[in-house]
Amino acid sequence: MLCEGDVVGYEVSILRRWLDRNLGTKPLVDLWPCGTGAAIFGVSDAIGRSRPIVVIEDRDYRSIDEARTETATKQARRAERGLRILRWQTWRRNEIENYLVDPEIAAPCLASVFDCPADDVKALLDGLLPALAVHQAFQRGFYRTRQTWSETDPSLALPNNLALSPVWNDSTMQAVSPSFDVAFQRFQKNVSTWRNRLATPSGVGQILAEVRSSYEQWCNPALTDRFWLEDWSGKDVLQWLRITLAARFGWRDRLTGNRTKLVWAKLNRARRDEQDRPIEAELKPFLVRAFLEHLTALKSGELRDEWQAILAVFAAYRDQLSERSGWLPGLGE
Amino acid sequence: MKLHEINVQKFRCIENMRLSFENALGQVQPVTVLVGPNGCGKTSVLFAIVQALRGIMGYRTDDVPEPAELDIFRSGNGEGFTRTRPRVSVTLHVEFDSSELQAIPQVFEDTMYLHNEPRPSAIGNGRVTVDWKYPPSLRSDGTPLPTWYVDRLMPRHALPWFKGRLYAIRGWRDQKLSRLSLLDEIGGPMLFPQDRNLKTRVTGASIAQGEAEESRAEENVYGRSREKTVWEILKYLGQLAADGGGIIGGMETWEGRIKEQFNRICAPKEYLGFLYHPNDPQGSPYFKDGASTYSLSVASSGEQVILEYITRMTYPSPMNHSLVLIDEPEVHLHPGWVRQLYHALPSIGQDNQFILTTHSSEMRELAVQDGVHIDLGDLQR
Repeated sequence: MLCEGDVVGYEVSILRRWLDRNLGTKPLVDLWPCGTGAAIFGVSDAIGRSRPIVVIEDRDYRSIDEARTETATKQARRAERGLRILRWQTWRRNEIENYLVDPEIAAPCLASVFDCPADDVKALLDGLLPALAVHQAFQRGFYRTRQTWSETDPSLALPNNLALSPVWNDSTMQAVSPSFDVAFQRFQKNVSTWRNRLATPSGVGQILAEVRSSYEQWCNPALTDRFWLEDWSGKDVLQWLRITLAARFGWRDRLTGNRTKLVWAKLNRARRDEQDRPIEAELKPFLVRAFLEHLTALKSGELRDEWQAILAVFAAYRDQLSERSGWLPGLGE
Repeated sequence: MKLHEINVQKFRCIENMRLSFENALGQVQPVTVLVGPNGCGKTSVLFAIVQALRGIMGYRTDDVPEPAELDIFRSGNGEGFTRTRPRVSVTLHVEFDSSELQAIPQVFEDTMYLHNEPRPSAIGNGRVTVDWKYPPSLRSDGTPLPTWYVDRLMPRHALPWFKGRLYAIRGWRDQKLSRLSLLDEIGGPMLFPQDRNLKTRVTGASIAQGEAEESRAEENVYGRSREKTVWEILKYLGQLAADGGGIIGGMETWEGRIKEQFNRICAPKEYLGFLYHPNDPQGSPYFKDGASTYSLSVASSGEQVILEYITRMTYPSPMNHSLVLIDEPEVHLHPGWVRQLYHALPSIGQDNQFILTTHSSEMRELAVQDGVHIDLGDLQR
């Protein structure tokens, strides 16, 4: 299974436990965090012919339908190249942190760590959300821009119609090289066309409209709204919640055991991240455990269905193999 | 009993090491994994814990030899001359949890016939510092104290608390405890050493005839018995249950407790008990997985390892609220079962603290994801 994030990331920690707890060793699932969505593409190429893979990537700021269409296209294109993709999908929410920042999960968990009432955590989160609306609207705009730009980037048109591959001749039983002069003339024409198509004004207008529309949609978030939980960057929300809690209730120093209220105002982004990183690392096991307990206790609902569906892919593969050969793939027993 | 911190000086390959087993909240982590290559001191940390506790808790194990001159750290260079003799020093910061703080005084009352000691004096928040040194200090007559003697306890009146488990076991065996569950509420240390042969310890399959005879001879001469295999224990407990005995408390039997724990951890597999069949007149421990039933002798290594931990931590005395030390638990295990075992450990017994050592990158990765690893060296070395 390929996912985003790093080897100590939330994806791996959660998925590892979820898969081991529910599938055991049948089948035996290797979990590979690949860093970014782009890297997943490359890794799938590297291993997809030697073993079946399941891919789960961040939805980011795509709509659910866009994400579904794109991943279906990716799966089909990979399959055309001989890769065995059992499923290529995105999270239903923006990214994995969106599952952890759910108030029903984060509030009691963080309350126990920061030694404050869970309602206080919810109240702080409720107060924090409006402050993040502008940031999230622009983040969505930037993301959409990058996606659009790569679609309209005419540099992809440079190799068009060049016919560079050798041609096989059955009579002479030899490969024949295309003419360089002919190819080069066509290439010169492609370059000329490309130069004329850079950065059209209408493309810029589209980006501006996208940002405005996002902000109008998101400017008054409330704790009970779904859009911030599903469509915003959970990583950003979680970080700002940590910053708020550490400032209000303090953070425990491991060496002295004392709790100190942290200051953030004069820190630039790099220094802020540096101060936040150990807090995030310490909180991670608590949040992961809280999420898995919550998920395990669910009897129904969209969240449960989404995570059960991940298991179903592996279970179907396992059942398919055992029907075929009567042998259960798993550990070497 | 929980171990918050250990300081080790000049023990085997460790010159000076301080390890904390707490998380961000100052609570002891249920599992801590010490990671490092051979020779970095992982096993030495476990042995240090056992050496410091064996005397005051009456914990007997042949897996950790009595300390000797060779256990004193030797530096590789010619420096470090001193006027005092080098000594091993192990300091443990332990805590008796709330259930022990209530159960141990009751045990002392129930077992007065054994020791004639009063209830132990209160130790406030349950925190005790244990200092053990080797070579031990000298008596006033110049003779050395026993090697298991603790050099210092803080608070000084905490010594009786460490005897609570020993008295509970004896009182339970003599059926003198006011509540059978008292033994479940008091912890102690337990070590699963590195050099164990799975087949021998679980099924006894590798014990050759000659070896068995040698073992019986040893039993007669030294009065020590070979450690029972898991198979033998399960057979005994199965027979006890069949005869209506082996009751721990209420309606619970030893065999029933092992079944419950195994079934919970390894579901949907089940442990059925020690059973006989016309095709198996000698009987075996049997398992069920869906429609298939199979004996322990053909169970996977992973199932055998988990069953071993459950069985030895249940009988002859249950390990709850205890400090369980496991040296290289990944031995004999496929990476998939390493993961299963890692996830299963916190469910074995109640409120136990596990300290594992490993040089498996699989286990290290799991521990890193949970933030419970302590790197004692570079595994890539």
